[in-house]
Amino acid sequence: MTSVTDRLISPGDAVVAAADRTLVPVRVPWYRSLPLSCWESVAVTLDGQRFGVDQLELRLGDATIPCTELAAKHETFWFVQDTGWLVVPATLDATQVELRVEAEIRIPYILIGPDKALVRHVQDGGTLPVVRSGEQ
Amino acid sequence: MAHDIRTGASLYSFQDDYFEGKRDLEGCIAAAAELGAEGIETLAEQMMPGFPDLSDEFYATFAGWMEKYGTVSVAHDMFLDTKKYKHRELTHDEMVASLHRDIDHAAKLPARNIRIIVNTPPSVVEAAAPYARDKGVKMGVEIHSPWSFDDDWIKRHLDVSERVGTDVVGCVPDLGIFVRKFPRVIIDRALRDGADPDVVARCVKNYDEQGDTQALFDEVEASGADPLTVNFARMTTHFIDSDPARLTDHVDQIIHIHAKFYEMLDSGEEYSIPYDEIIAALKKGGYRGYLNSEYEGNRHIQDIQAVDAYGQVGLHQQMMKRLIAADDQGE
Repeated sequence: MTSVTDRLISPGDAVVAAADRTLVPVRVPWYRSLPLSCWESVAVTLDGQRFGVDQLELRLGDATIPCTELAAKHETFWFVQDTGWLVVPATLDATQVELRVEAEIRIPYILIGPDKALVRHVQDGGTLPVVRSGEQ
Repeated sequence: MAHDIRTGASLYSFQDDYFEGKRDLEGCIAAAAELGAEGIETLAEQMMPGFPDLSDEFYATFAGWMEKYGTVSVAHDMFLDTKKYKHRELTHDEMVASLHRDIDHAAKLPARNIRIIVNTPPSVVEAAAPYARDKGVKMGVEIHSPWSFDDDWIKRHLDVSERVGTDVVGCVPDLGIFVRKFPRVIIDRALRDGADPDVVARCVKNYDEQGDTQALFDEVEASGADPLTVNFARMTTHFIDSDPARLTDHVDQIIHIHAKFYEMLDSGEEYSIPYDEIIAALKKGGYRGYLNSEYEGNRHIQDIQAVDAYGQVGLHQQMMKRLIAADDQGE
């Protein structure tokens, strides 16, 4: 089992395939909630096809935010127990997918130099089941 | 001097249970109480969704839990996100405002104490002291390895305590500053991950014999060792073995204590930290306050086994209560 602080994907989670996009479940790889502004970058790879930060959106609760706008969300916390969904502009037909999620997370209270905070590079993935939903 | 040492638990100890959905916030409080903890220390950013915008209903519910389980809300652990903006630090005024937010939260819980995270500038604590006093909340900088009572940064915080008064500003020693033997759970994890056993053994011996960990790290790094081995050598520089007598020296400034532990043995002892000496030093100084169990061995064993925070905190509470109750020679 990987440490919870290294885990972007919760055990047992599945990727959701919608008609025109794919939703990837993601959690905060840290032991406390962090402002969305601390997500410095994120990328998703589905069966070898990589999608960068400018192609992804984050669906968190009722909000859907382009990942390029996360840096400006200083007052919005992502709670540690909440699953967010990375919305990927791709469709999946298979029942499982080879998934890789990479993220750079700034830990805003751990300073490693003058005006410089620790940035953790976290990656997670594996073969995940794909479930279909017309509602997502 | 008469002491009044009580045991509590930081809910940080139960974070794996919380993340995995085995216990909710109330469940963590209930578990701590079952294990003998009188005091409860909480992390709002970890277990209170919606913080800092929590409702009056939440605070009423939390107070009800304290009554239901016979516990006392001892402390709120604050964070200061000085780098929530990527390209700049918070200004002094923004930091003070952030701390006021935490003081308001502590007052509403109500928790008597706030753990001030160590990256908080002393000037920010000093500026917020009148507000905290008005709210009836004490603030204490956490003295967490690699810092010790003798570092300039901590001394500046303790100077604030002297200036504004120990009724409102003090310190929260983390017992991880008293690591006498390098934690076995960290050693074993490094070996499982593939660090060089010979170098690991040398680093551990060097640490346990109070050798120069920075010098050995520099040597290991320069040798071209693999990253896992270099990382282990680096970790030994982050641990310190302070003299427990420092707790006696500063007892009047201690508002509560993070009773850090890495591994409770079946014998009822902690592997790394000399709790017998620590509690004797607190008794000698007449400490009146809480020792809050803070289990941190979890992150080092998650690769091979389920974390048993309940069992570990239980053993830790029993050990602390036994040592508190023991008659100490010369007391």
